This record gives sequence, structure tokens and C-alpha cells, in this order.
Amino acid sequence: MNKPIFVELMTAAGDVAQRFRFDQLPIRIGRAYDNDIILDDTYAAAHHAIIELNQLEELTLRDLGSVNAIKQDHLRDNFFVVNSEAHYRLGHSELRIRPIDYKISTEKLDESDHRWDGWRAAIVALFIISITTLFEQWSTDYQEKNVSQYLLTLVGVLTAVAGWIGSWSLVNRLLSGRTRFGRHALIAACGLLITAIWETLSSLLAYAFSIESLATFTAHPGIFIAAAIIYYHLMSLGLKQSERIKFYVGGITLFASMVVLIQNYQSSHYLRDQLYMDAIYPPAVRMSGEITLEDLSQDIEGLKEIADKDRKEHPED
Amino acid sequence: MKLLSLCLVLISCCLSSITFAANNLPKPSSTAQALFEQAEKDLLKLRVLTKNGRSQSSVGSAFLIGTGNLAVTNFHVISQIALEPETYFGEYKNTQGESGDFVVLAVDVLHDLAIVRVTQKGSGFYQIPLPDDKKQLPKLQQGENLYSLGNPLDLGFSITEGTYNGLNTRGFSEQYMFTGPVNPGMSGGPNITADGELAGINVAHRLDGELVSFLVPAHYAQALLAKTPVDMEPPTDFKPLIGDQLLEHQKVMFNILLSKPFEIKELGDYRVPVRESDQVRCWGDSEDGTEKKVSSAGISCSMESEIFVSDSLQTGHISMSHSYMRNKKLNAWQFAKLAGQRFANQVYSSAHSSVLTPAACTEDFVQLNNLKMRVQVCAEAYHKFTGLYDFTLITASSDDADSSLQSMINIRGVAYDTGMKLINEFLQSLSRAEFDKKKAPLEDDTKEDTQNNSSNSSSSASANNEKDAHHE
Repeated sequence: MNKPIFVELMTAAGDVAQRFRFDQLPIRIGRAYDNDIILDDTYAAAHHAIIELNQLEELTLRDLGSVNAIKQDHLRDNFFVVNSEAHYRLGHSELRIRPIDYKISTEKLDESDHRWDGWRAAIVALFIISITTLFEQWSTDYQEKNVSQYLLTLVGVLTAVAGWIGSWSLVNRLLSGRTRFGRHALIAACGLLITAIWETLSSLLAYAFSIESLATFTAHPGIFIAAAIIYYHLMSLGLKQSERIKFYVGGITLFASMVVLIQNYQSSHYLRDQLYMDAIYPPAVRMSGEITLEDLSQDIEGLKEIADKDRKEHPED
Repeated sequence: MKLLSLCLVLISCCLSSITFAANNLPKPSSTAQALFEQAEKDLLKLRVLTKNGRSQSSVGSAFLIGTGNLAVTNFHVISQIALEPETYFGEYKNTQGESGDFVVLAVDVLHDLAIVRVTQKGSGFYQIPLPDDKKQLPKLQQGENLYSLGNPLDLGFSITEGTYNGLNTRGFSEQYMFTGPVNPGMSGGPNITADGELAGINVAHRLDGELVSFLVPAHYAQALLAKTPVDMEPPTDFKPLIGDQLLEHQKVMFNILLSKPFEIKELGDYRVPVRESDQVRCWGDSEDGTEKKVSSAGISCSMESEIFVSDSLQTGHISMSHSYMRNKKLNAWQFAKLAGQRFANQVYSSAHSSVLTPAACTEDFVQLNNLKMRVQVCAEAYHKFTGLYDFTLITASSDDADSSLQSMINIRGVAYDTGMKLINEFLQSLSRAEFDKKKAPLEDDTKEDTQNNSSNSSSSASANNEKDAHHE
């Protein structure tokens, strides 16, 4: 053998826990202390496997007669020609084997803006949360509320959001040793802001152009925004499998939307969250025209068929 | 021990006071005493029981007619048997404690009457002459003494004394006003004159009044009996029959309601339709507190009677309301938000109702007269009664940033074309006041100002209470 070999012990999350360099073969792996790599794993044999070259000068991993053998992607065997991308499971331990000339991927462009972290991000988040909350308060201030009532609501919202951000920061601290409070605060604040903007914008558009579905399907955009916030929180934890996280979060989002649709249908016979558009805006907002009473009468006439179709002989069943 | 002796003292005190009171009570009316002696023989207690487990579901009274085995009672006493014969059956008991099963032969939902057949015969005390018989039902005079019999609160057969006080005109069919106690359990029991002639049948009393009770006039029972042969086979399904009666009723009801156009009243900048009559009563309210950021006024009208079909279905009813709001200190955005909040959650759709189908709705912006408004109309069909529908219409004006008119009409138990006609007429009667003033001067009799209709909140509250007529 003329080139060094690296054997990497992997974590369950796919990170490298320990890396060993070997300048000569064979490499013995097992629980016994006379191995080159000693596994603290009761599911591994005393002498579990050996890494060596075959006659074609290929690296191979061979089982030495263990009970559990070697697994790769659920394939259990006694012998593998080493694939540098593969993870091999010996007992409960996962290994990756790579030669020194393994072709690593090209350097990624650093697109992350590190200014959106730390105290600066926390202050921006505080500003966004405060403005959003105060605007919502002001919009529905039909009595003459005083400043203390505004502040009381603001403190309530900030406390709730702080609890959310704190939980993510704690998890962040446990996983990577950093809290990233500012980052998480900014994500949560952006979520609140986007939710508020969407609610107002969708309602305005629905009213202006008679797009009732924008005003009556309210839960799904909310679920989507919540999913996006959770995704960015997860990514900020430093997890590497972004594709897998996207897949899981997307799946949960779809599932939540389905649950809402089923619930709505079971309770009201409609998929929408509200039976009708209830928003009212000043006349200046309205862009589309109005229908006549004759048109409306035709629409009402059409309801008879729908109502008759839903009649049941035994509605109790 | 001390506690026990204290209790005994209290009980003995009570007993002695009761004895003392009893000694000083006026003697019972000899008429009532004599009437009860003769009338009790043909008085029945009716019980509706579940077939599965024989548990009691409702209790009422009935009385045997002539010397036959037919008895008259209220429809609401036996409605469960008529609507769900597979689940319920009926049992009667007379004053001697003899009991047996009864079957329902005929119903008159509109007047809350039913004819049942029992397995015993009457003594002939309660007589209802046939419509063409020479002997007529008694003609009642206001103030005349009447006597109600029945089984109040299932405590035992009783007689109560009261007076006849004319016709109740709040409903679409006649009811006698009886100023005397009619308690739950007496429903379906007879009400007789001092001569023992049948005046009516106990049916309801008002929860918000003292001794304000109602009787179904005997001539309705006479008409129903005339259509019920003694030996007739009991119908297997009453639903089509009840459906036909409800359809017939809605025709009468809406012919009366639509016999003349809606009255128009001014509410702020708008003109709104109302219908005030013997059957439909209206109430107004207004708020114009100086500290409030908006001023508001409203009119609501509601029919005073409805038809009992079952505990979950009361129909043949109409109500309408208008709510006006004028901006004083809010900006346009806040005012719009407030209007939206008031417009929300007024109409619901239920997928689980055993009475109505889920609401089938349409919504749009409509221009009518000089008024632009958002309109939402929902229709629901009755599962068990073909051809009957409920309608709800809600509107919100969309043509003024500083004032808002929101109206609603709720129509229950009508034919589809009748519902559409009412909705059309209601919508056509909505307009902006200044338009009419410019282009079509108001008639003198329609120039009523909203403030004149306004009353304080206590009168609105009493409006709600007055609707609480309770079936006995």
C-alpha cells in the first residue's frame, strides 16, 4: 500500500465523530484491545472486520466471522469492496473509509450574512415584533385605549415570543454550544411580520377583486408560514441535512393542511375555514364591479339544487 | 343528637304552621270540585317511552272523547312517536291507575293537536260535536271561569281554575288566552267551562308572565276528529303529512306577510324594510355615547310564534334586523375593521344536523337602487320534509367609508320560491336615504326617523323574553 487510508467513525446524524489515519494495511477493527480501531460497542465482535487490499488493489472490508456481520444500506454481507461514500455498520457503529486522494466537493460560496446574528438581529427583531403588535392593537382600537393598555399587550406578546425564541436557543446551545438568540429572534419576528402582512394583503385583495377564496382559506397560508419559520429555526441549529429537513417539514406541513381540510369538511361540509368573506373595507379599496339583483337571484336559484342534493332520508346515520 | 332534636323541632313547627294555614284556607270552589269528580274518569296521562329500555322521554295529558276510544292531546306530547316510530312508543294511564299502549292516528302540527287511540272507552263526559251537529261548542265570554285539567309535573291529576281572556292574535292561528296556571305535564289536557263543556286544550304558558297561559280552541280538535275515523289504520309515516301541513302553513303565513309591501324606515343614511304586525313585532335601540368613537342604531323584528315539530325543530318563523353604525372618531381603516368584525360569524353551516342540510351559500357584491353592498345568502333544505327550506340573508353596505348598514333576514320553513320572493323584496327595499330624497320624495307615512323607534336596552331585552312561550 502506498497511500494513507482514513477510517471515520460516524454519528447517527451523519457527522464524523472520530477520524483515524493509517499508513499501512491491513486495519483490524473490533472490540478487543489488539485491534487497530477499538469499538466500544457490545454488538461488535472482538475481532469484527479487517480492511485490506484485494488482488485488484482495491480496498475491501471483510467480516472476520462476527455474529452480526457488516451492513451497508440494510444489505448484510461478509465482504464489501469499499465505496468511499458508503457507511458500513459494524454492530451499532458506523464507519466510512476514504483514501487520502478522495475527491472532495468544491468550496461553497459563503452566502450567509453574519450581521443578521447577535445583538443587532435581536434589536431588529424586537423592533419588528413591537411595530407589528402595536399596529394590530391600533387597528382594532375601537374604544379609546390608553398607552398602558398598549404596553400591557406588547409585554404579553414579547413574553410569549421570548419563550419560543428561548426554547430554540436552548436547543441550539445543546447541539452546537451557541445560543444564536438574535438569529432565532429575527426568524420569529419575520414570521410574525409576514403573517400580519399576508393577512392584511390577502384580505384586501379578496375584497378588491372579489377573490373570496383568499379570505376564506385562512389556515393554510398560516401553516405554510409556520412551517417556513420552523425550517429556518432548524437550519440555524447547524443541522447539515437541509434536504432531509425540507422533506420532513414539507411533509408535516402537508399533513397539517390535510387535517385542517378534513376537520372543516366534517364540521361544516366545506373545505374552507370561513363560510364567507367577512372583511369590509372603505369603498376606495374596491376594484371589481357589482352584480345586479337578477344575477344574484339566479345564483340563489342555483342553491336549491345543492341543498336538495344534500338531503338524506336518515340524517342521524 | 342535638342536631336531630333541632330538626324535629323545625319539622314540628312547620307541620303546626301548615295545619294552622290549612284551617284558614278558603274552601275549594265547589264548581271545580264537582267538575273534577266527573271529568277525572276520562283524563289520561300519556308517556312517550323508548323501545330500547322503556325509559320515559316525555309526559303529557290527554282526554277521551265521548264514549269512544279516541283521545285528544297535543302534537308536541307525542311528536317523538310521530317522527321516530322505530325508536319510541306510547303508554297511557288513567286516574284509576289502569294503563295500556296507545297509537297515534292523526296530527295537526300547526295547531299542536293529535288524536290517539287507547284500549279503554270514555264515559261520555267530554263531548265534541261533529261540525255539522246541531249542538255547538260553547261560546266563551271574556272573564268567564274556565278549568284546566291535567298531570302537572307528573305529580298527579289536578284541576286549576282561571278565566278566559279572549284571543291571542300574535300567532297565525287562533289561540285562547287563559289566565290561570298551566304547568308542564298538563299539555294536551282539557280545558272546560263551568258547565263541563270543552273550551280548549292546554298547550303553553309564557315564561315571562304570571298565569299567562294558552289553549288550542276546541274547534280545531273538532275539525281534526271529523277527519279521523275511529277504526282507521294508524299511518306508518307521519313525515309526508307533517311536511304537507307545514307547506300549507307557510303559504298562509307568507300570504299574510306579503299581502302588502314592507314598511320603510330611515336608519341613519339608509332606508330599511321592516314588517310590523300582530304577528311580527319590532324593537329598536340606539347608542350615541359622547365617549364612543362610533354611534349606532338598530331595528330588529321577530315573529312571536313558531311551529313546534320536535325539540330540535321549531319552524315557520321569520326575523329581520338592521344595524347602522356612523363613524365619529375612528379612521377609515379602524372603522372598516369594526364593520368587518360585526359582519363576521353570523351564518354557520353544520354537516351534522339531523334536521337541515349543510348551508348552500352564495356571496357577491351587489348594486341595487343607489346602494352598493356585500350580500351573502344561504339556503338549507329540511332532510325529512320535502319542499321546505330555511334562508339566511346578510348584507353589509360597501359604499361609504364612514357609515355602515348591516341587515339580516332569517326565514325558517318556507317553499323555495317563497323564500326567494321574500329575499328579493327585502333587498329591493334597501336604499340610501339621500338618493330617495333627491329622486323620489318620501311618502309622508314612511318618514319615520330611527330615533323615534329607539327604545332603551331594557325594552330590547324584554323583546327577547317575550318570545319564550313554553310548551306544557
